[in-house]
Amino acid sequence: MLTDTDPRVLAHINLFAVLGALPSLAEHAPEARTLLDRVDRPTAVRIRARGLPEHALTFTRDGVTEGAAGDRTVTLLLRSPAHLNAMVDGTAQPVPIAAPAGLRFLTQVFAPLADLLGRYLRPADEDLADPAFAETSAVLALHVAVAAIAQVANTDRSGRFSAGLIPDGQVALEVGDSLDLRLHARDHTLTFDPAPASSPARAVLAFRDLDVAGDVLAGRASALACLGDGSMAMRGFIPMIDNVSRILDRVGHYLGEQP
Amino acid sequence: MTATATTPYTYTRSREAFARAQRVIPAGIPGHQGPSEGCYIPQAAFPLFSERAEGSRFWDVDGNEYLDYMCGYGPNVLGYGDPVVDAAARRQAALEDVVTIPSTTMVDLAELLVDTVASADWAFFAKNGGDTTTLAVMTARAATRRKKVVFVKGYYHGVAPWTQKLDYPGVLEEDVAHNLSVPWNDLAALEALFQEHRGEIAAFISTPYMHGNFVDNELPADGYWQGVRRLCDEHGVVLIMDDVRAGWRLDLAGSDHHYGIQADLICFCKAIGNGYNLAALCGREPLKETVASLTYTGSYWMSAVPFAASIATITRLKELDAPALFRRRGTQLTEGLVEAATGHGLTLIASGEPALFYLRLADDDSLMLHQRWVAECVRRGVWFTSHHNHFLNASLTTYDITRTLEIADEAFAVVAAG
Repeated sequence: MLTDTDPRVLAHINLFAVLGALPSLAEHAPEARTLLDRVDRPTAVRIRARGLPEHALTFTRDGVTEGAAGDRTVTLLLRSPAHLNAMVDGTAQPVPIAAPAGLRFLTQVFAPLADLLGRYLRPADEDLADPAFAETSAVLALHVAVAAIAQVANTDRSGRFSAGLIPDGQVALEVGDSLDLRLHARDHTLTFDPAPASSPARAVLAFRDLDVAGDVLAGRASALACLGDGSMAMRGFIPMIDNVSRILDRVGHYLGEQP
Repeated sequence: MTATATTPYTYTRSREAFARAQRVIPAGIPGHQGPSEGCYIPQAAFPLFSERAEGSRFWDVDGNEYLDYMCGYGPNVLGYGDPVVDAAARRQAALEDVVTIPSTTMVDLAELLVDTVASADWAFFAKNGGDTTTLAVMTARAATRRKKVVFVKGYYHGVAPWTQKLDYPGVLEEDVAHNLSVPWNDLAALEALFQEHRGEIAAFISTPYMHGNFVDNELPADGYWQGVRRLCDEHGVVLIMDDVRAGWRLDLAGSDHHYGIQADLICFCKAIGNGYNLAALCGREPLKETVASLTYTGSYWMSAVPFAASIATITRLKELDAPALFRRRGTQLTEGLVEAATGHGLTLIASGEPALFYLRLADDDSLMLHQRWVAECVRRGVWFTSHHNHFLNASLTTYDITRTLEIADEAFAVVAAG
């Protein structure tokens, strides 16, 4: 167990897992549809932070997709991983490189979408009173957590140790009968694949429902206790589950509340 | 055992007890005897609490009966409630157990171990296997004044922080900073590691063969242990054999003896007292004074009842030539299981020593098929486990094996039917 965290790893999580949840936000949150209606033409946002791979997202009226494919490109420059982390925390601004229309896109679409994502990922109690909001919040939190597992597995020292013990194959994180999120392991590198599963997983960690998933991911419930009472289940090649669980614990060091 | 007990069991009382347990015990049943680490897959197929045990069987709190091939994860070596061992324990209990100064029964057992275990010139007693592996590593470090310890990949030597890994909660990086590892059966890798860290390595610690979980167990290659012994001698490294799991089932003189070497230190627990709580570190004369210099003790480590039980256990194991019995019974059982699987178009791999056989259905690499088969066996009264080696005990009869094969066959049929 490492007792410290690495800002570069957190930046990977923020760049690819947190901001990487924007496509899912567009898919699940009704408020996102209203914001995307403001998109006048497909726009790609490239996020470039020194020392990190670039991450690009394309925004259209239909949704948000990975990669840069728009007619218009907006670039957000960040001088360091710490600068990126501060941007996601809302305490710093990126340097935008864009024409005036691109700047309008940032203020009228991108920034409100990012704020909306933050509202779903750090929900207020009054928002959670709405069952639909609570469900979407849990789905997005699950997406972020699973995507963060891949980032930690590939970039964090403890995560790489755990990933070094994961053989090739797919790990499924299932919630009820509706969600099946996949991590692909190959040569001890993990990739989060948000696409619908197309082949059997080699190992499965199943949550009874979103409430259980939310409680475990937030650290409010112990995975071991949930496996004991049947609200979680595992099957398949258990060392994959065991090591993914260890990485998930490490994700909590980055995204959870500090002790 | 009922002749045709094929109705799958139910576990109402186990579940009720577990609900109580969860309120007052972290995880309900923590550790390897609980549903999570025990890999109860699916959890609903397994009972959670036992009520009584006798010979090769135990009964859960719902009254379901099991032929038990885990033997309490090893301690049950003669049979649950062995009358000879229990009588010896009762006699000692009538005299004393935990007292301010120890009973001479401790000396009697130490003398028996020195007479029985080939590499033992002395014995030091504790309670759990991990007590002895930790003492062994401390001894090696004290004797060599070196820090590093070499493990075999996939190792398990207990739960003390030094035995765990970098990514385990509650374990500090510093706890495992001096741990090195090599693949099993790889003398070249061991030699290279010894060369790379010449003068830094205190100990090489290993089980007598690779009986790790989730993988087929591997016996030592010809000459492997002799090569390890030679390298340890050349580099001044203490050779620690962790015989906690395999001890008293392969060779009463120690598993190092079984594979043709003498370890410097050898760790025993599990079967040493047929369930009476005891562990022992034995070793060779040159390390005796080093052990004597260590600060290492515990409140119950000199309780007399387990010493008396252990003397009776080891004496009985000798009378039975138990290792030979286990080899015969284990071979009969595993060959029957493999044949039964084949009859249903399935491929069962039985690996490791027959006394501690490991099973794997090899028809899918996810092991889900294997987990289903084990669950169907348990629900019909044969306690196998999915991903851990099994254990035999001397009370197991050929009738028990026949009945086991019947139930296993039925479980194979269920699995093969999809």
